[in-house]
Amino acid sequence: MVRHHYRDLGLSGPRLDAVAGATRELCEFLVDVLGVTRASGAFPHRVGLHQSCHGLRELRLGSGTERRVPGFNKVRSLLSGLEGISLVELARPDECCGFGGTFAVAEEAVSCMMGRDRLEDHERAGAEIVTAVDMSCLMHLDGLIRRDKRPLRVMHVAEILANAQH
Amino acid sequence: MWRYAFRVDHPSSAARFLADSGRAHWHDQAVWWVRQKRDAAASLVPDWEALRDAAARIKAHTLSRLAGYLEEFERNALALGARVHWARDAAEHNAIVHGILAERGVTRLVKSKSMLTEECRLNPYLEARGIEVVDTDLGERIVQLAEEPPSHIVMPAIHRKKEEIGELFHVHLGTRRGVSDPALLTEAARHHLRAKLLAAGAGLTGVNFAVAELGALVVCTNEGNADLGASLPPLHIACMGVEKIVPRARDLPVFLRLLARSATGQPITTYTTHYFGPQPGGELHIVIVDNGRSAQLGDERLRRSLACIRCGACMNTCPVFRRSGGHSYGYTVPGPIGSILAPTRQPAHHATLPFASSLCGSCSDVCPVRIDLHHELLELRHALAEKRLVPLGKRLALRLAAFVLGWTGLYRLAGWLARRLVPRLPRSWVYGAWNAWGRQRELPPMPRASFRALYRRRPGGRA
Repeated sequence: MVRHHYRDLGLSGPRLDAVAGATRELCEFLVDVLGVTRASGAFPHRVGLHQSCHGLRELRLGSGTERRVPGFNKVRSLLSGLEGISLVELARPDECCGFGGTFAVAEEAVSCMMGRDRLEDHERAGAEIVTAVDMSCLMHLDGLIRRDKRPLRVMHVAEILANAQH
Repeated sequence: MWRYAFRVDHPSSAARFLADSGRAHWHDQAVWWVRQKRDAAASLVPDWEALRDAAARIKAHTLSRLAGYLEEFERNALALGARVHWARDAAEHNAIVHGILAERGVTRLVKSKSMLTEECRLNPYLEARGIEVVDTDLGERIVQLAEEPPSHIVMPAIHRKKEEIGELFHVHLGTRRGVSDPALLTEAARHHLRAKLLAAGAGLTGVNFAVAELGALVVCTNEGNADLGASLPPLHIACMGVEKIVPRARDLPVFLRLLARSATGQPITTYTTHYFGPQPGGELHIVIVDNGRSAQLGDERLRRSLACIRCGACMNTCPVFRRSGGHSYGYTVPGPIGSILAPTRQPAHHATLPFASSLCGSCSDVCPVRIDLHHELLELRHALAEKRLVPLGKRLALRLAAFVLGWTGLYRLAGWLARRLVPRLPRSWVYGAWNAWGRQRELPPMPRASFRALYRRRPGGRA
């Protein structure tokens, strides 16, 4: 949002450039700025990584399945450094969860089916925890998990990284 | 014959489609399978991304000099002996095609797939004037017999199960009741269509590419139906939108390598036919149609979607298309690209379409000509909001949100109230009919303290 869309709000100038240029997503900051490619600590759980669309396709935190570019995934490689963590393999590793802002309410039926389909993919893959870099995906998925009483829970990547230090 | 008389309400149509959850999952999986085939085919081309760059640049160049290339194409097509007609809109296009047929007393027309003629609603126009129109593409023939519009531009009958097609063929083509074997059904259609092709007085085809420097047309099909339709009758009518031009023959391979791989995961379509003027003793009429395209070309924000080569990859990858079906878009071209094209032509009628997307961006990454689909959808949302074509409820809700977010004190008060009040309210109030979020989902639990308070409490902290 800050990096790509503040300009659409009519903001401009060197101060915006400075702020936009210095704004980073957490994993991006850890990998690109601090040079931490693999996180330290232990997190002995089966984790499904939900690749939030704007992280994936706007910030390019990973290569995605659509493009034919050398594969990379900053979030996954960061998490895979944790001792004991098992990152499950999804059938559709980067499909949208269906949150999409006002889309979640305006297109409620499609949004909820998209979310449930994602959760079923994570369940089939054997995940206990669904993680992502975007709180809004997790709010939507968590709302569906609690309504359907699924054996899953959501954690932000930051929560996993913080937990792994204890 | 179908038509969309009322404003398209995508959310409601999608909800109806999803009411049959088994069918919705089947549709999602069937279309996703095509996306996977596309991935496999694209991965075998080492320079795939460079090819997309080249295609995008050729299209941008062509669109920037479109008038010149169209005239060059016309000159060269005329020199090859074709006749060229220009149609400002759908009505002119239909009248031109009818005129050509009527002048020659043709009463039976066979057509290969042409989304342009769907857009112009040519079939009902000709049928009302006593001309039998038979779509010869298998998928198109299925939806024609079912009296419904195509639900996908490449796979028009993707929403139909083989058992339903068996029933349809039983009624219309006389196949045995209960037969749903695709090979048997296809064989029955083949015989049925062969008779229609042999009896036809004229064949109409779409156009995939029109090469300016040659005056030649390229038509891509998998069934060979366009080739039969253009060769058996003495009269061939080819209908194309103005954006189908490519400048040179050497531009073709760029698009031909991208088109079939993106559309169906094939390295190339089974038939890729190049027409240089009419066949000996026959006639070739080329109808070049604008129908809103030059207005779109004039709009800086929307012109890039004119580069579309109609491969359908954005539909196959779109999580919303797969779960709402092509008919929910109420336009000839559904999915992400249709959600740009339809409201560009008729904003009020198609105002819900740019919002029928979570803006996940997958479409932009599969598009072989690099149309920035999801950002264009966002642009269209702005344009529709400026025209007040966003539902009143949403307008008011967002205005209220903007007001609250604009005043720090009010924002803090709203947060405080929500944290104190919501947990104490009866569930039936919180999850009342007004709460679309809560119909199938829980609201997030209200935190005890605000982020601001937590931040102040952090070790050694001050806000």
